[in-house]
Amino acid sequence: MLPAKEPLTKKLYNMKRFSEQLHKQSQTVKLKKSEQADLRARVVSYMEYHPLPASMKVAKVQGSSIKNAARTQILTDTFGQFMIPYQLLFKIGGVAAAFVLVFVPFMAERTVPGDTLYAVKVQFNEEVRSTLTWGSYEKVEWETTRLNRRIAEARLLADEGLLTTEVEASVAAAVKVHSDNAKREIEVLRASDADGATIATIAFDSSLRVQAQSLNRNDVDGTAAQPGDLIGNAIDASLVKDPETQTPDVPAYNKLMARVEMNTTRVRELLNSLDGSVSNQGLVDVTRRIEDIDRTISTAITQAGTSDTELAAREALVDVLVRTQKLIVFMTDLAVREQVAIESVVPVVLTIDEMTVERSQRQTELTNAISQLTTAVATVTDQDILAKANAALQQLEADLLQLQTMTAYRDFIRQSDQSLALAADALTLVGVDDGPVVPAVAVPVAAATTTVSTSTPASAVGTTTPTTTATTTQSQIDRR
Amino acid sequence: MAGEQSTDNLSGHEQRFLDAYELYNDALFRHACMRISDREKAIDLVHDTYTKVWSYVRKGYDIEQFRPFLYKVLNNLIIDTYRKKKEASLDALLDIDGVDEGSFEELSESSAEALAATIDGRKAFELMAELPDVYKEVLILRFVDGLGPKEMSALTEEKENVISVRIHRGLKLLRQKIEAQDEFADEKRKSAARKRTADKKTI
Repeated sequence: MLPAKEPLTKKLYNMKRFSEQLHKQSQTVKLKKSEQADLRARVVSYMEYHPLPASMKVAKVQGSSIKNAARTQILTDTFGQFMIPYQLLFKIGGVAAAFVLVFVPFMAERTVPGDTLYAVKVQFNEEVRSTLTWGSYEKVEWETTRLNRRIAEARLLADEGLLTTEVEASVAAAVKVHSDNAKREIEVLRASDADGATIATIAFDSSLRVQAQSLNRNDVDGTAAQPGDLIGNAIDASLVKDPETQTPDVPAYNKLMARVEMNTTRVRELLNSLDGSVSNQGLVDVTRRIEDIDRTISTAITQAGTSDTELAAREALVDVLVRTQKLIVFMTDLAVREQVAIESVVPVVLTIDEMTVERSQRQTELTNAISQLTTAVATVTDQDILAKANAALQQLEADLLQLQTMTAYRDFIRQSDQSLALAADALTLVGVDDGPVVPAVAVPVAAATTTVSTSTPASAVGTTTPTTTATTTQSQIDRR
Repeated sequence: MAGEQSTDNLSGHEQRFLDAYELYNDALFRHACMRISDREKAIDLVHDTYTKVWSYVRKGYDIEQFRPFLYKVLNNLIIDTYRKKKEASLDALLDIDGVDEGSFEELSESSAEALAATIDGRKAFELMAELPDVYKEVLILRFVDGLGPKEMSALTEEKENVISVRIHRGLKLLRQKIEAQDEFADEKRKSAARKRTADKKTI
C-alpha cells in the first residue's frame, strides 16, 4: 500500500535512505583478508600459467613503467615471471657473432705482422683451419702453406720498408715452428703410411727449396731491406735432415702416380687462372714445363710396364712430383714469381730431338775447335806452348771420339763441357781468340744452397735436384 | 565492453587486468554472494570470472571498460549456476518478463523511487535472498552495485523498460515481503501479548 501524499523532499529523502541503508548493509558482505589473498593468488597463478603471448608482451609498449608495474604486480612468493628478450638477444647475438666470426677473420686475413688483427689471423683463423684439417698429409700441406704465408708477409713488409729485425726474427721463428709441425706430422704419417710420408717430405722440401731460392736471390741482389738471413737460415735449418729420418726408399708407383695426378691437375688449374694476369711468355714457359712433365709421366708409365724399369719409373715420378710441387709454389706465390726465374726453379727438360740437336752442335763446335787448334799449332814457335797445345789437341781428339760413342746425355753434356772448356783454353794459349764458347751458365740458386744433401730419391737418380758436387758444369747439367 | 580483436595498444594488459581485479573483486564477490547466497560458490564464480576475462585478453581482444565486462561474465556464470540447479522458476520468470512490458506505473522511474522510499533498506537487504533472481539481479545491480539503466540493459541484454519493470516489481515484491514479515512479527507480538494476558488472568 503506497503512502498517500508525502512531500517530494520527504520522498527523496526516503528513497536516498533506502539506497544508503541497502548499500550500507551490502557492504557487510565482503571477502575476508584470507579469502582475498587466496583469490588473488589463484587469479595471479592462472595468469602465470596462462601468460600473454610473447608477441603481445613485446608489441608496442606504451611506456616501460606500465609494463614493469604490471610485472611487479604479478610477482608472487612462489612464482616470479621474468621476461627475457630472446628475440632481441638473438638479433644482437647474431650480429655480434657475424662480426666476430666473419667480418673480423675476413679483415684479419689481409694483415701482416704488426697489425692489430694479425693475432686473429695467426691465432684464430689459421688455428681453426688447422683444427679442421684432417689427415697428416693435409696437415703437412697446411703447415707448408702457413710457412709460405709467413715468408710472403715478410716480403710484403720488406717491400714497404717496414721489415725490422724483430719482425724478421719472429717470422723466422714461425717458419721454424711450422717446419717442425710439418715434420712432426710427417713422422706421424710415417707410422701408418711410409710412402705417404716420403711423398709429403718431397712436397715439403720442394716448397722450402723454392722459397730458399727466392730468398737467396735477394741476398745476391744485396738488397738490405729484403728478408733473407734469418728466414733463409731458418729454411736451411728446416732442410737439414736428421739421419734417423732419412727416407731412401722410393714410394710405391700407385701412390706416386696418384699424387702426381693431383699435382698436375692443380698446375693446370693454376695455369688457367694465370691466363690474362701474366705475360704470354710466362704462360709459354709454364706450358713448356707442363709438357716436360707430361712427357716424363708418359715415359714413366711405359717404364712401369716391365719389372726391370719399374724402379726407374718410380724415380721419374719422384722427379715429376718435385717439379710439379715447385711449379705450384712458383705459380701461387706472386713474390716468388717476380723474384725468381722459372728456369731456376723448374728447368726445361729437353726432348730427344732437342738433345740430338744439342749433341750435334757440341760435337761440331768441338770439331771446329780441334781444326782451329791444329792450324794454330803449326804456327807456334814456343816449345812450351807447343807441347801444351799438342797435349790439349790429343786430349780433345780423344774426347771427340769418346763423345761420339757416349749414349748417356748427362755424361755427354758433362764431358762436352769439359772438352769445350779445354779447347777454349788451348786456343787462347795459342793466340786464337774466337774459340768455342762454353755455354753461359746461370748458376741456379738451388745449386748454391746444395751444401745440404737432399734426402729425396730425386738426388739418387740424377734429376734436377742438385748434389754436393756442384760445379759450374754440374749446374748447367742440373739446369737441363 | 569488448571490441574487435586489435593488434594496437596491446601493452599494459596485465597492468589493466590487475587494476581491474583490485578495483572490482570485492564488488563482484558481493554481487555474486547476494545473488546465489553461497559464499564459497561466490568466490569460485569471481575466480572463474577473472580467468575467463584473462583468457579473453590473451586472445588479443581489447577491453575498453572492464567493469561492465566483468559484470557481464559474472552474470552469465550466475545464470549458468542457476541452470545447473535447474531452477525452472527462473526460466519461467524470464519468459514472463520477456513478453510483459509492464504498466505505466511500473515503467515510471519516480514510481520506483516512491516505492523504494517506503521500504526499509536494512530489512530489504535481509529479504533480498528470498526474491526470484530476475528481481534480485536488477535490484542488486541498481542499489548495491550502482549501475545505471543503460549499463544494466547492456549487461542483461534487456531493454531499459524491462529493467525498470523488473526493478519496480522487485521493489514491490520486496515491500510485500517486508510487510508480510512485519505483519507476521506483529501477529507474533500480539499473540505473545495475548498469551501473556491470558497467563496473567490465569494467575
